[in-house]
Amino acid sequence: MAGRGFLERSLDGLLRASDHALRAERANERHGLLQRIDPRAKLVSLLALLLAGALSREIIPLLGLFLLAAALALVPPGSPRAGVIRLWGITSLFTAVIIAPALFMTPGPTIAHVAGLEITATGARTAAFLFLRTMSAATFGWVLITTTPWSSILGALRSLRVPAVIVLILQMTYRYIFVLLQSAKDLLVAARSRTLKKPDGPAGRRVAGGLGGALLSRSIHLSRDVHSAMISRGFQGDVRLLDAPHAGVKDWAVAAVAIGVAAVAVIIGR
Amino acid sequence: MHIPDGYLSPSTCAALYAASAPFWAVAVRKMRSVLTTRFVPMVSLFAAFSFVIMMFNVPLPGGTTGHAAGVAIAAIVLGPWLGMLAVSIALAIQALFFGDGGILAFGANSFNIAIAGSLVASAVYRVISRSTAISSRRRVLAAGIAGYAAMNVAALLTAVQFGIQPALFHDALGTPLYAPYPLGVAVPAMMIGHLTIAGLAEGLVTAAILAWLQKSEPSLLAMETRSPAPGWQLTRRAWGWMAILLLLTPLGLLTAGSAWGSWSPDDFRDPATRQEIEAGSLGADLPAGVPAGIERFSTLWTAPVSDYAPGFMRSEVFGYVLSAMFGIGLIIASTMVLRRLAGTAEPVAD
Repeated sequence: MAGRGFLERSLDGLLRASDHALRAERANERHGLLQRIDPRAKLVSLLALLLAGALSREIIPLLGLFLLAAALALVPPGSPRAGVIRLWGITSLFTAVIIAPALFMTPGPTIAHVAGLEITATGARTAAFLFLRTMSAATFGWVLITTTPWSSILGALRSLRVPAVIVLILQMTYRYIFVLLQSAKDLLVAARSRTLKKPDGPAGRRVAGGLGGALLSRSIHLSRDVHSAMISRGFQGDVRLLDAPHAGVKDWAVAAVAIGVAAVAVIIGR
Repeated sequence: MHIPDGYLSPSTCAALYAASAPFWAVAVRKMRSVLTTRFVPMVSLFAAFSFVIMMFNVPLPGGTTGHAAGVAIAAIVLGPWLGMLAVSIALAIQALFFGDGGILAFGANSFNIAIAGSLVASAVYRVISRSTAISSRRRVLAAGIAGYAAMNVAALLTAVQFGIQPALFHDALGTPLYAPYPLGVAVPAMMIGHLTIAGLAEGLVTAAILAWLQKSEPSLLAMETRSPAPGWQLTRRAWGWMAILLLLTPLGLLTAGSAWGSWSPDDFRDPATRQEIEAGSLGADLPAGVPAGIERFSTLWTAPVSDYAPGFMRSEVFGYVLSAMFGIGLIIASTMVLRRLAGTAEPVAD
């Protein structure tokens, strides 16, 4: 089959998701400093730093937050540096596409000329705000996910009073995403191996509809099987989860430092 | 369309979390009471399905491809409440684990895609498909239009949220702090792509999946995940509160002057009211006369019960209460007409 059709592109998307999850799990297995911090302290720290990035109205504190995030992502030994650099590449490309017109369109005093267009000071400033905010938010999120197993993040959410039923749903959804990803891969490979000509256009849409419908049908049948398994193991609708181990003084000290940094960023950036 | 962090202000994010919370709460309560022990596995598996379907690439007319969100097919098959929950959970995992969409912006993404998308898809599908047979071609058309509408409504909400940022959130120099484009740029920029590509992808995927389900698994199109019709008994408490609020409506008469932005041409002519307007507008100078647009459009429509004061009532208080009763009556009548147009909840079996 010549060229990449929608089947190949869909398969790529599924493989990328699996790859991302695998990298995150490998990174979590390291015994680094950040991995040893209690997940609740990390989650509280993340939220404080994200909020600081959103509230700050000056470039310097935003730059400081981004540099902090970059340091946390790159400096610890064994950090998945290739992954975070790839993240920066994707995020900055996406942001650049969005923000580029604002350099010229935002009214203000001109600071430079590029290809006959005038870059304004206000445009450059607003581009810097958006770029630094998105990059630091994405990097902090990356640091959390590569230093904390997903099950620990969910435990931390429970400690922050997210309802137990929602935490259980998040946990089960995460597990079954990979079951359905494998199902979807099998369906796509089966479809691809049974076609001689690239199925695009109306034929391709019929194939896509069949794949989506088959996946939906499998999800529904699987949910019934899972429900039967839960009932047979005594599930009656009430959700009880194990309590996460208590965080130590050291963990909350880390969270306090993060909150302090966030507060300083907000105050400087007022 | 997933909004990353940094594009919306914290107050916009907080407002959209607050707007989403009641829908989540109602959806969880309704679905737990209907599904009981099936609630957890159903929401989990459909959230996983939503997540995976968002990765499918769909060939579109013209040779391009697009991604669907799966929100419309989830709302059609599962009902709007379960669909809304499933897509919200998928968005949460995308934001937390895959970094697709912001964590602070999760409320906004859920409101636009999961909540508004599910409600619009479900309503459009019901109005167009009505009580036709499960195998009817009209249902396929209804699904396609529902998907297209849902995606574009979500995009419009996103565009409006982006577009209001520069006006509301800027520094002392006027620099936009978040999304930098005003409504006049944000709306066309978002809508062009969604009216042509993303909406089409959602519509085509929804129609294609429904067509497949009609042939292969028609029983899934009659799944009983919708909550039972509430009936009047279950809404008695709400009606009680409505009655109390109705009686409290004349409290508005205690406030002096008119609401900011609700001025009539006469307000611009009256010196005392002009002073009030200036004081309420942080001292901004008013135009000398009545703004031309306000003058021209103020006579476009003459309300039957202007200022909530029926002509035959002497008492302002009773006029307010009577207007409120009339307004509620009109809303109930409109809802009944719309419900009739939407047809019955359950499809006709083949």
